[in-house]
Amino acid sequence: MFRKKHAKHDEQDFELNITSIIDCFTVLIAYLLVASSFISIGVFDIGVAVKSSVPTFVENLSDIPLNISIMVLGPEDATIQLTGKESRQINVKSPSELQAELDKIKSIHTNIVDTTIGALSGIQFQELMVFVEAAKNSIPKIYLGDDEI
Amino acid sequence: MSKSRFRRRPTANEDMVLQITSMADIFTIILVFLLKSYATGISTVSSSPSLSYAQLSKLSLEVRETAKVEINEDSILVEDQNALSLRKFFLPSQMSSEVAESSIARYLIALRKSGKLKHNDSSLIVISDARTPYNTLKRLLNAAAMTGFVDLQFVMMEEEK
Repeated sequence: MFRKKHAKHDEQDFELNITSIIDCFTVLIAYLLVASSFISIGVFDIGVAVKSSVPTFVENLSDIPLNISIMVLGPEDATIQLTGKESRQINVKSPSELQAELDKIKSIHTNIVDTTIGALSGIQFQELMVFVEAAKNSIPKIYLGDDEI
Repeated sequence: MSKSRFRRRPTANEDMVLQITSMADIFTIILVFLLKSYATGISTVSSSPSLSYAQLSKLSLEVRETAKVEINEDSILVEDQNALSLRKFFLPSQMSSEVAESSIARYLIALRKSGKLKHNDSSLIVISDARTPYNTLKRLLNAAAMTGFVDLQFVMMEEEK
């Protein structure tokens, strides 16, 4: 009687070649390291101005609030319009000058917390945002959407 | 002569096995970390290839997950749907401001009704080309205000210092 020899279990020694995976990982990591250092995208929070036709009611004349609105007229030109408690117009020739003027106003009227910004129709988004950023350095809450001219 | 004195040096095994398993582990961890940090928030916002971002020096990296509106040269897109066609960033000459705002507002209202947004969500992510004129932007602002979107997150590029 032949005893069948059990077939030897062939040990399949296979080697997993992960060299190419390492190559892919290296390239991917290098790309991510480089890309993340070049592309810096962020967000800028702004509120939308919502106008009301209802006039503001104040009991005492001393309670009249001071309203500040900014109108961007050009890449290097803007106007600060004060209404309410004080009425005057300040012309500025740069975003830094805008910030300086707003700081001066805020040092006198310490309860100023917000302002609205508008622009001429043709003012580009980039030109507008430079002024918005300067204004936000002085007054934390900015509302966009004053009447365009 | 004794054989034990002069023992041959065993020949070196020519097949060297390079152990790169631990290097693979390190690469995997670094990769996962980079993907996670790169994919968090702002980098998930995509836009048209031709869009050029406005640049500012100070920006926030915290993005609230919400609907996206894009203003490019040819259109205003609300969640990648064409809400308003533009001609080189401007409204078509025969279109009035009210019609343009209604067109955008319709898509924003549909967005609210679709259930994709959180209840009473008032924020929008706005990706605007740097060359967008204020006239066009104002149409979006008015439409957004009409439909309750009053907190806008403008996506911009940080200026290189």
